[in-house]
Amino acid sequence: MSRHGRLAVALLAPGLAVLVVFLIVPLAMIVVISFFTYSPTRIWVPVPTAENYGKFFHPYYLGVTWTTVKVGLLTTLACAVLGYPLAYMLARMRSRWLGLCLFLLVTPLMVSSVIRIFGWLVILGKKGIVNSALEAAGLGAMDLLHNVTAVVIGLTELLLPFMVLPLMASIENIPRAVEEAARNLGATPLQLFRRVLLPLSLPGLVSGSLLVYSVAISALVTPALMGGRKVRMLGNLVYDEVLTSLNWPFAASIAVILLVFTVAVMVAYLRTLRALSRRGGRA
Amino acid sequence: MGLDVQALVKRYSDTVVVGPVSFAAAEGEFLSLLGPSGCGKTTTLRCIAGFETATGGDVLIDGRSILGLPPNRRDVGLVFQSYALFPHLTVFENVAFGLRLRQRPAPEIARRVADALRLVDLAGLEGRHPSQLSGGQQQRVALARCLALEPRLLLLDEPLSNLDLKLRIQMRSEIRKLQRRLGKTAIYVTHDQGEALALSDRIVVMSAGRIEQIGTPREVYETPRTRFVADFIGASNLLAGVVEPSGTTIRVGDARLTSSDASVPGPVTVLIRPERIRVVAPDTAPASGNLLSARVAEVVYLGEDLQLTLEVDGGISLAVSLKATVAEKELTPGTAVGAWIAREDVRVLPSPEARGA
Amino acid sequence: MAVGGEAVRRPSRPFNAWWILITVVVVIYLFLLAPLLIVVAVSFDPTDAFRFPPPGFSLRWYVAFFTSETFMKAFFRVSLLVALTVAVLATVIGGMAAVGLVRFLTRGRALLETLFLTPIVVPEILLGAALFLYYTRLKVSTSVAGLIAGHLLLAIPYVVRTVSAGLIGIDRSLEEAAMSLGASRAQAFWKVTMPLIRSSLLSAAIFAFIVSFSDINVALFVAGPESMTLPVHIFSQIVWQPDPTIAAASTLQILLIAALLAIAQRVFRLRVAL
Repeated sequence: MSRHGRLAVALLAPGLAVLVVFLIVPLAMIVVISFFTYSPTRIWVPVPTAENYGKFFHPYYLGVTWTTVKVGLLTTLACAVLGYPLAYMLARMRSRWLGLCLFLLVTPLMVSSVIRIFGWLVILGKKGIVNSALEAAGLGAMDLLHNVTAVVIGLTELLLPFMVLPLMASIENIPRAVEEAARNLGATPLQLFRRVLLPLSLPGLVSGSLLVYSVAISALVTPALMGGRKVRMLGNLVYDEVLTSLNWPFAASIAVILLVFTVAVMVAYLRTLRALSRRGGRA
Repeated sequence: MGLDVQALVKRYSDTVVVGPVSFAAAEGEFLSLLGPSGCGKTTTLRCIAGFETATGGDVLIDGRSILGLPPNRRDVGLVFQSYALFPHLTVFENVAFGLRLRQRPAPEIARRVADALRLVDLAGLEGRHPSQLSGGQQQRVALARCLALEPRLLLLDEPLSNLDLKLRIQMRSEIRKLQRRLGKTAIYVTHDQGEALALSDRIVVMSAGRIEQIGTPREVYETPRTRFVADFIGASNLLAGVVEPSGTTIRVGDARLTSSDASVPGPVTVLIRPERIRVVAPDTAPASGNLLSARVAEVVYLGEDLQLTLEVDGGISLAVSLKATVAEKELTPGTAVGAWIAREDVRVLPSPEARGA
Repeated sequence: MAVGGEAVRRPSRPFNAWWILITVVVVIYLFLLAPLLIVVAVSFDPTDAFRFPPPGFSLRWYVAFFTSETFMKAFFRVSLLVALTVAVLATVIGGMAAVGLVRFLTRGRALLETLFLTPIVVPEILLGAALFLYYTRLKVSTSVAGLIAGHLLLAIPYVVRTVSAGLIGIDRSLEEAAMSLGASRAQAFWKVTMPLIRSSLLSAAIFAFIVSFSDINVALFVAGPESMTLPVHIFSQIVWQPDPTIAAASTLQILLIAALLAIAQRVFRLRVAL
């Protein structure tokens, strides 16, 4: 091996070691465990079985899966609808304000999700702000949490930046002159959006949607705190089975199913991201 | 459809980028806005199109102000410098875009698109996408896209500047022919004075947001009114001179020139076009006009032309342009010659100080 | 005074449509920031009634935070310690990997780049669950070290990406010029390239810190009583005993992270990292 090659190996070794020891091996272990049999006394016995996966097709678990998919799709839709105006504005904005707006967009993302959920609990909780206002107006308190809408609200607020950033990059690639040409030819803002902006920003929209979806379906904290018993998603299931029920083979099988699904979506996301950056690049 | 621009002003914070600027274009006229980068010509055009909001003044088409209208309702066609074709649409759909917005019936759209493409000589390329077209073809699609809507006014923002020279010359005569044929009023922005001279009925020469001169190509070339116009259009010898109290002679360095331009005594700028200077034997005695004795300093052979630099006794440099058919053997550096200039070819322009800021 | 200004051109907006857009965007930003703003407001509420706007101003919850042993331990002895360690380790490991990938790798770069991106592709809860089961199988008890390892997985891909982007942006000929002036390859790298990627390294470190500090999904699985991070503690408090001390803790975390992000944004364009 050339000197370069040896140096490369030396530089890459620690990182690769971390990946192998703490990611590859544990994930492989999970796949293996998912085929083991559950034992109440010893958690698992190395007897191969497919019953963990079979258990998954029980209506209750299918229901949880359906809730997960539903929440994922609704969150993605909400992020797309709310995210597009934001992305357009950021893409066309003068750079003086852009720094501040990006900062305000990214900061909530970087602050732990528990904190933001706490905020939502204060807003939507039984004794929270909205309910206090309703009570003051004589309408009586309502349970605004513990439903799919609350979880979607929480996840949307959390994941909006993941939609906005790729979308913004896509819109930036549309030359302003093209927008002006459309307006010069008579397009109203709505027509401009439908006939020019939307088709040309589709790659960014797809990218953002894939990213939001894949993170939404593996949510744990948001449905746990904002959905409660009524909204259970696959993430909650994994948590309970691992830390409460201690049925690790079953937990592993759920994890594998979730993993396969998420990886597929994320790979598609990374592909569209690469295509986007290749096609883009200002002239 | 006459265009009337009245005292148009465009300001960014406290910088006046354009104005006040006033000019009018008659129906069917081809008017060029000519000037160097940053002179405000594109900003003026964009004010007419509605992509810049005018800070002051008015723009009228057929006597009605259009400044209150948003850009998508002004009914003026804009051809962009970058063409701005819709990359996701075919040539047909690009040209049909405006018609589809207005929800014209399909047969009408097909007919008008076909007509427009035929006008620009692109029939048969309807199914292509912009990325599959050459620069010249894209430019024609951009033109056809505007023409399909039969706008009242055509605005062109340096449409040829991205093309190479040969193509540019070919396209510009096509644009002119097309415009004449359709009888549409056209406002054409360019920094290329040759283009402006070749295409326009009248030229508006602009500099630093103001109009220097408006005139036909001939007027602007032969009787420039300011030093800027003289310098920008065509090659020129610009010399500082003083009109003597008699009013008939101008002192330039050590030499004295007479001009057919009436002039007031005082400092002036003298303009002599290089192709108007005749090189003669040094002891010729001319009947009228100006004769200066000079020495050839430099000769540059350009194929079609010879560019000479003459040092005139008294310390002036003159650029002279001759056809290369003249026997060059006599024009080697160091040769003594006479430079003869007719009185009509000595133009007197106000000196920059006299113009006032 | 008339001055030409073509280059400064700023496009005009369609009057009404632009202002509608701005209003909509402001509303969306309020939605985005509402929970955080509420949390900050509530942290100053003298009562524990979670009212907005708060009826008064009081620092009692901050006092409660700083006098609570569990909160203090979570903030300083776990979260801060882990985050700093992760920041340093991830930057070193990830930085080395980036240099190896961009500068010295001759074959297989695409494959290895993808490999370093895998932790991003795997959902965080699965990283957490897998590590938990792994540690248990290896009979390793929960500890800060285990947490650090988990956070390294989260942070290293971002470091690799940021530093790679920074390296690619540097002209190779700078190093070659140094070598033609007598520097060895290592010297050229150390003296010429390293200073130029300083900003990438710094922003990568800041990013690694933030990722570690605010992580909840991995920590929920991997943290034990001795390694309970601040977000995990907040989580358990929300479930068992919600009171505005959580708001005070949260506000402090928000301030910390916002400050770090502001620094990072000055140093490096934020968007590349994501």
